[in-house]
Amino acid sequence: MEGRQISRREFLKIAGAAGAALGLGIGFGGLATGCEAAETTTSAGQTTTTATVATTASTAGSTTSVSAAPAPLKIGMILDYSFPLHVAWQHQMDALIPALNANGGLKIGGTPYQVEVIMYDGKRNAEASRSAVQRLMTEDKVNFILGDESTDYWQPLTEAANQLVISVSPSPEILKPPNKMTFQSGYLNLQPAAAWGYFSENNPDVKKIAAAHPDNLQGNAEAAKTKGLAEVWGQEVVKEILYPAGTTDFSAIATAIVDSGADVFTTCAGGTVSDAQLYKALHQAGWKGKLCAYIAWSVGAGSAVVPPENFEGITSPIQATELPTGPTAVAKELIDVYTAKFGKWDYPSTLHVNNWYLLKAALETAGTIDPQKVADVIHGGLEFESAYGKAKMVPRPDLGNNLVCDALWAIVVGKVENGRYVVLKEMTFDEAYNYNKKALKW
Amino acid sequence: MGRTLVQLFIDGLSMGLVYVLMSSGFNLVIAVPNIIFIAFGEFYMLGAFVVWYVQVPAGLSYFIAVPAAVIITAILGGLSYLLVFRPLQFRRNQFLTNIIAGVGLMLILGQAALMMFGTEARGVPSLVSKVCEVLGVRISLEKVVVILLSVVVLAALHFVLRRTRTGRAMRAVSFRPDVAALQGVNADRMFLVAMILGCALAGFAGAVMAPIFGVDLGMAENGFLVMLVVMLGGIGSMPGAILGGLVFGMTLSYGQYFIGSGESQILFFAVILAILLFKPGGILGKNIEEIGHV
Repeated sequence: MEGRQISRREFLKIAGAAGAALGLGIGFGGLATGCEAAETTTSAGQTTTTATVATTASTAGSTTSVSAAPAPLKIGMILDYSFPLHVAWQHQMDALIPALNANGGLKIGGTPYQVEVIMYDGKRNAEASRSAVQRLMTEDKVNFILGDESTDYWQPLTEAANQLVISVSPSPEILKPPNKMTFQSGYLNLQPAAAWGYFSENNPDVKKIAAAHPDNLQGNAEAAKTKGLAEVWGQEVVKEILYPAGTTDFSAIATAIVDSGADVFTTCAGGTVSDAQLYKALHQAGWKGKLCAYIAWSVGAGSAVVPPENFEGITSPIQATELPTGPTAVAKELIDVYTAKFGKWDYPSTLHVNNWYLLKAALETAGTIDPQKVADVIHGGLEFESAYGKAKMVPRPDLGNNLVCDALWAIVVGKVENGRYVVLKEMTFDEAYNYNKKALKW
Repeated sequence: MGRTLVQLFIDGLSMGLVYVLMSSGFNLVIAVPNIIFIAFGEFYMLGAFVVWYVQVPAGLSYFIAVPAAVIITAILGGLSYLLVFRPLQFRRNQFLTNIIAGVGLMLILGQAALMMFGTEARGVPSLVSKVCEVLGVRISLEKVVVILLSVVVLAALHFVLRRTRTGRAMRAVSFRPDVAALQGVNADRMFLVAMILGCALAGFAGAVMAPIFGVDLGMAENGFLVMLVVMLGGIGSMPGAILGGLVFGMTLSYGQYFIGSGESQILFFAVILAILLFKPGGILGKNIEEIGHV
C-alpha cells in the first residue's frame, strides 16, 4: 500500500478509534470486575443486587450488608478476584452470608449480629494486599479479617494492631512466633501427612513414587513435602516432574512417569484441570500403578473435565460435600444456599471458606466479639465443622509455636471405584495427629 | 527406547499439528491485512467454549458443535475486522495502532468469556476415548482424529489459497494491495476474508482440542505461543507455519521426556533465538520489512 502524509485531524480520528477499542476493552474488564464484586444488600430477608463498576481492580470491593442492623459484625476479606479458588470462596460467602442474615444473623452470646462482609482484591501481591488490609483496618474498621495466601505480606500490620486474622495459607511463616493473632484454617498444612500416612500404612508394597507438580511456589513446596513424606515412610521419589503452569499436553510427561517404574503417582497444586489432564494422560499412557492424592480430589469437579475412568482407583481424602453417604448437614447447607443463588452446585473448592467456618465457631463459642477472647477460644484447641469436614485447632511445635494456630482435619479417606468414592477410613483427630506427629516430628 | 521415541513422536505430531492450524490462521491475518492479531488466542478459546456449550448444555452432537465453533469464530473474526481494524486499515503507519486495537479486542473477548462462562474449567465428552496399542506404542484414537482432521483442513486451506480465485486474490493482495486493486481485486474484501478464515482456523483448532484438553479461559494464552511458532517458521509463510508448529510439538514432546518440562520450553525459546539471529524472518520467512507473502 502506498502511503500518504497524515493530517493532524486524521491522526486524532485514528487515535480516537484505537483508544476507544482499548478503552472499551478496559472498561468492559472493569465492568466484569465490578460485576464479580457486585454489591449485595440484604435487609429483612429481601435481597437486592446491584452491579458496581470498579474504577480500579485494586479498590474494587463488594459489600454484603444489612442496612437495618444496628451494629453489624464487620468482616474483611482479602482475596484475588482473578484466582479461581478465590472466586469459589467469594461465591460461597456471597451465598452463605445473605442466607445467614435472612435467618436472623449470627447469634453471639445471645445477641443476633447481622454480618457485613467487605471484600477487597489483594491480587495475591504485596502492594495491593497490604493497602487493602490497611483500608479494612483504618477506614472500614472491620472486627475480623479472613485472609488468603497473601497473608505473609500484611501480617506485620495486623499483628501489630492486635487484629484477629484467620487465613488459608500454606506458608509456615504466618504461624511462627511471635505471631499470636493469626490462625490457619485450611487443610493444606496438616492433611497431607495424615492422608499419605494412611495410604502408606495400608500399601506397604509401595516403595517408589512418581510425582508431578506445577513449577510455581506452591508446586515446589508440594514437591518438597512429597519427598519429606516419602522419607518418613521409607519410600523414594524416583521421578519428580515440575511442569510449567499452563501446560495442557501431559502426554510426554505421562510417558516419562510410566517408564519410571514407580509404584504410585501423586500430584497436587495444579488445580482441577491440570490434575485431571495428568490423570487422563497417565491413563492413556498405560499407567498400571496406584494413584494417591493427599489433598482431597473432587470426583464431581474432576468428572467435569475428564471421564472418571481416568482417575479410577485413586485414594484421597473426601470432602464432606462429596461423601458417598451424602453431604454432612453443614456441607448440605452450603450446597443449598449456593444452588439457590447460582443455579447449580458445580463442585467448587471449599478450601478457603474454611476460614469463615472457623471464625463463626469461635465467635459462637466465645459468646463475644472481643478479638482477644475469640483468640483465646481458638488457642484453647477449638473444634469446628466446615463444608469440608471436621477440624480441630492444634499447635505447631515443628515451627516453634506451642500456641494453638493450625487446623488438623479428621479426614475421611476414600477410593474411587466405578467412578464413585467408597469410604476406606474415617480418621479420628488422634489418628490424624499421630500421623502428623510422625511426619513432622512433634 | 524405540517404543518411547515413537510414542513421543505421535504425541508431538498431534500437539504440533494443532499449532500448525493456529499458525496458519495467524499467518493469513498477518500476511494479507498485515494485522499483528494479539487477540488470536481468544478465538482459539472461544472455539473450545462453543464446542462445550453446544455439546454439554445444549446436548447436541460433536459434529454440530465443531461447525458451530468454526462459524461463530468466523463471524466474530469478520466483525472484528469490520468494527475494529477496517477503520485503521487504509491509513499509513498504523502498526502500533493495530496492536493497541488488538489488545482492546483481546480484553473485550476475554472479559466477555469470563462473564459468560465463569472461571471454572469444563470437560467435553470425547468422540473416541479408546486407546489402541500397536507394537507397544499406545495411540489415543482422539489424537488420531486430531491428526487426520488437521491434515484435511490444511490440505483444504492449501487448495483454497492455490487453486481458487479468492485464494489467488488474497495472495495478490498480500504482495501489493495497490497493484492487486488495479487488476480488479477488492483488497478490503480480501482482508475481510483473510480475517474470517484465520479466526475460523483458530476456532477449529480450539474445537478439536476441547475434548482432549478440556476448556478453560487460560487457553487464550496459547495465542502468544502461536506467535512464537510463526516467528520460528517465518512470518507470513504457510510452509513455515507447518514447520514451526511441528518443531514446537516435537521439541515439547521430546524435551518434556528427556530434559524436563520447563526446560523444554526454554529449549524452544533458545531454538527460536538462535534461528532469528541468523534468519531474522524465521526459517522460511522473509525479513520483517517484506511481510506479506502467503
